[in-house]
Amino acid sequence: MNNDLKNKLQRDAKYIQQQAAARLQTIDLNAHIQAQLEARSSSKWFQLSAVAAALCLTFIIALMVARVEPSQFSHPNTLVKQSLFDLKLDDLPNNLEQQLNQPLIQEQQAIIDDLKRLKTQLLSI
Amino acid sequence: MNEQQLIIQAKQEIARDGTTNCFTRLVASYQARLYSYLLARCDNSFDADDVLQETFINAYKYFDSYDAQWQFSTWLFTIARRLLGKLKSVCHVAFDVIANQVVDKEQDPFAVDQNNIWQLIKQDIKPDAYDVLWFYYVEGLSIKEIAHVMHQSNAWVKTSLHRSRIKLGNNTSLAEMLEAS
Repeated sequence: MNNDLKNKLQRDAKYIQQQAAARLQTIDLNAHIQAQLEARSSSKWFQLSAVAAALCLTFIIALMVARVEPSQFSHPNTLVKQSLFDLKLDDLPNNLEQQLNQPLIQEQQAIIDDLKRLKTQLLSI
Repeated sequence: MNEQQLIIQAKQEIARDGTTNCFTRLVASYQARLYSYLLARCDNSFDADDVLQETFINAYKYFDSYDAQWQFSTWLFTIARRLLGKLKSVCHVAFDVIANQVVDKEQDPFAVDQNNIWQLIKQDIKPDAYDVLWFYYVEGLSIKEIAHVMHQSNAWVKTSLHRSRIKLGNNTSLAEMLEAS
């Protein structure tokens, strides 16, 4: 590796280190860690016996898989079909767009929430 | 109090009554180095935040298993890499697709610039090779320490470094970038 590339790697890493320092100033990491540790230590019964721990682990994994179910929403077409005749003709394009998009946005948000929850659960195992 | 004394004290405190006074000081000493690595490695700063927090929580939980023959930072990097692997397995398909739509630059002011060389080489080299480069050139870890973090042999680390150097040396866009700078 030539020196230019090596220097560039180190120079750009310094930029990342500055970004990291700036970010760390905005968060109180110790407070977050303390809160997490307290939350976890309150469930000490969970670690009492090895057999119970093994069973609980299996249970948590099963629960985790089961929790990530798709959210229940009405199909956009159903909503449109139900209310299409109640709308004024001028408002039709806006309402149609809103009724089509809104459930999709909600569903996307629900999926994101599900995935974030799954990520947190997996990281905490 | 030097680092080794601090670690011993933290171990004793945690074993005795779970207090975190010394551990908190260790977190303060190492959080910047660890977070820089995670910020470079993750796709956004939110993931980096999560992994950083979980790394220290895991370090607290498994403090007993820390082997003092290695540097404390080496141990933290090992934990962080393991968590990144977990994160990747969750995010591999679904989350990446959605996250890329939701987490844009405006929402993530601490994301690494796309023109940063560490962002550019992410596409060219595998995550393991990326880690080796970071640990070697930025963290200044020895081959032996990197091998320990990566759970690989010394020869594997040397080979990885050699291949990455060749790959980056042959990258024309990087060469142009270096000329421009």
